[in-house]
Amino acid sequence: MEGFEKIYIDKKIEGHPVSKRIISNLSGEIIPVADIQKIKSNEGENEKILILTRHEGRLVKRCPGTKNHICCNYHVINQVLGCDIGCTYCILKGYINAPGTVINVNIEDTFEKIEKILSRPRKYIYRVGTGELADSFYLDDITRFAETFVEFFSTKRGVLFELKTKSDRTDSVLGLNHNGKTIVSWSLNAPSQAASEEGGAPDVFRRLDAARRASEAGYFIGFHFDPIIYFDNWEEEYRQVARAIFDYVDPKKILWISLGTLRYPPFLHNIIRERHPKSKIVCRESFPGDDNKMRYLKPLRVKIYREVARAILGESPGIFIYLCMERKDVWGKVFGAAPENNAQLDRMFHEMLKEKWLR
Amino acid sequence: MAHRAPVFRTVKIKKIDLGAKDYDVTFDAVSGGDLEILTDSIERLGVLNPVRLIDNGDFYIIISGRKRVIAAKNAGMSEVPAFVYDDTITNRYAMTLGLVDNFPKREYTAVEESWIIHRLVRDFGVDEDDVMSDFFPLLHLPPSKKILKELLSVFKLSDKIKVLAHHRRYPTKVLARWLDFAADDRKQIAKLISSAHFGSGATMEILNLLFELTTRDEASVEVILENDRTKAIMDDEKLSQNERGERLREAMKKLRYPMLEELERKFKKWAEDLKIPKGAKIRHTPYFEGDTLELSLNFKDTKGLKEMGKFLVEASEREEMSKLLEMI
Repeated sequence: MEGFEKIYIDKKIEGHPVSKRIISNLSGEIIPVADIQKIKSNEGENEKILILTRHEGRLVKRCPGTKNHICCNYHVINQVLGCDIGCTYCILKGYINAPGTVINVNIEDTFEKIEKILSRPRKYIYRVGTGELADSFYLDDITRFAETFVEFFSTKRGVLFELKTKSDRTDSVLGLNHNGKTIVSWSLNAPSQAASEEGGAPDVFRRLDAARRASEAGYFIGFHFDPIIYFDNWEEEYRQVARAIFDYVDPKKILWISLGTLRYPPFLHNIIRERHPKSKIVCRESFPGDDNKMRYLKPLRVKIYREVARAILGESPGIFIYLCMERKDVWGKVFGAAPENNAQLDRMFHEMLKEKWLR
Repeated sequence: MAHRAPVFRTVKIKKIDLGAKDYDVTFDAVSGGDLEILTDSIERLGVLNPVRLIDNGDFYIIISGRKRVIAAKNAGMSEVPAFVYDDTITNRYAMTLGLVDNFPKREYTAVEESWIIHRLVRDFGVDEDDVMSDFFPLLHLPPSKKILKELLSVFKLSDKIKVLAHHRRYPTKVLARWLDFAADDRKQIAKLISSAHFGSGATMEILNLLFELTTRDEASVEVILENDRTKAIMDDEKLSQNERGERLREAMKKLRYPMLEELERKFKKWAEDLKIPKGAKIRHTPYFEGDTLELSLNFKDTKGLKEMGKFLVEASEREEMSKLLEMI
């Protein structure tokens, strides 16, 4: 079904119901292992490998913010680690220390952790999602994690769960009783860049059409222009997509739109070159910032954010737009004001959600 | 397979086929200063270490000792002492002897490694795993399939590039990068690299810059290098090799990073227009990423301090200062 040639299964979770369900849907060779760390790191180079295990550490983490950049206090659930879309700029190859896709089957531990977090007093609405180290719908036809999470969060208070994706195969969640507690959001890009740099993903208009269907099913919707890529026709293409959003989704249903220009740790340059020698994505001028991530020059980033934000706000002036992992001075130049720190951006989300989501 | 022991004898140099390089491990035995030193030594002391040859019936093929034979010939000798093997010796064994003979004293260049590995695998049909287990240790290489593949691939580079890379002792990763370019581009790069003194690091940097430039502009290396700045540096005969190398690197960087170059140019111009007094300096953060400027003032007496103070008051109201501040 998903084309995995080998499925390593941690002996500790062989009897886990999620493991059984996943295995019953796959046809690759099943290899029980006592220690998944001993799977050779180069084994996945020429074949597609899936590893089923249980995560023993922190399954729910704060989204990793970086030095001198404003982050929004978002939280991430790492139930699946890996993706097969094959975006040229994908950081997962550099970050995931495993020879294949990893599924942490112990979803009950995630639920327990979330319950614990939500039982503590919180100042602001808790935002959490599964789309950091995987596309939220990747392998969903065998894991059913997306619907499991939607149903779990549907009864919770003070938390907004986000499914983040580039997929248009998201209809599995449409019929669920989500109770408005889940936001489904799509990563968007300029059409030419989506075609050249996000090879395995559907084009942006198919993504927008999937967003339309989700909004019609009552879901709140989010969009992430991330990574925004600088190329010759960037202004026109991003403007076109920014405007198209509102042809598909009613702005009242859009909770947020984030903007983030391309950024990557320096080591990713060589990985990109090795895997995608013809990609132009790292040909443009990028330099290390305070967090040592490579970014476009600040004046260019400011210009890009201003243009894309202007195109969005021109269509729908009240839309909540935020910058992902950006400097405070860039916020100031783009919007005329900046959150003082991460907590203030968290509060801004809270205020917006109180107004638009809780009401 | 067991091999017959060699026979020690004196062999006439004219009976040795100097054109056959089947088992050579030295890429370019006839150039370089050490041949002259060896010739001097042989003139004084004779050939102390016998060479190893294969008796092919009509002539002899060198297994090891090509430099000694050439040096002996240059020294005016007509014969050399040799261990002679009969022609039942296998290619693989002969290659092993050549490498063992050189093992303690040789550090091979990547070009030599590539040349040796290529012959073993492609010409002599030695299994790749055997090459890694039996020959890599003799070449001081770790047993890595990736290295083997790289060495085999870089053999495809032209002889001209290999000679240049051999003499400059460029490592495999530099050669592998060079191979990422099309044949015509490789030739243009060789022209550029041989025009100046580039070490391995600088060569890698140039290759990376050119790779990104040719990908970004969808242009050949020749087109990328076709600009006044680069041509002027290449044509300036007054420049030393080091100066030319440094300037070419700078020129490549400016082509690769035109926006940064433009920001630097503007910053420099406005800073100059501010007429900053001697002893004061204004700087931006790396790549203009920060949101502050740094101003340093050096003075040695109160008069100097007053001058600086006057400059600060005036500068804070100047348009150039506003422009500098807008840049961050």
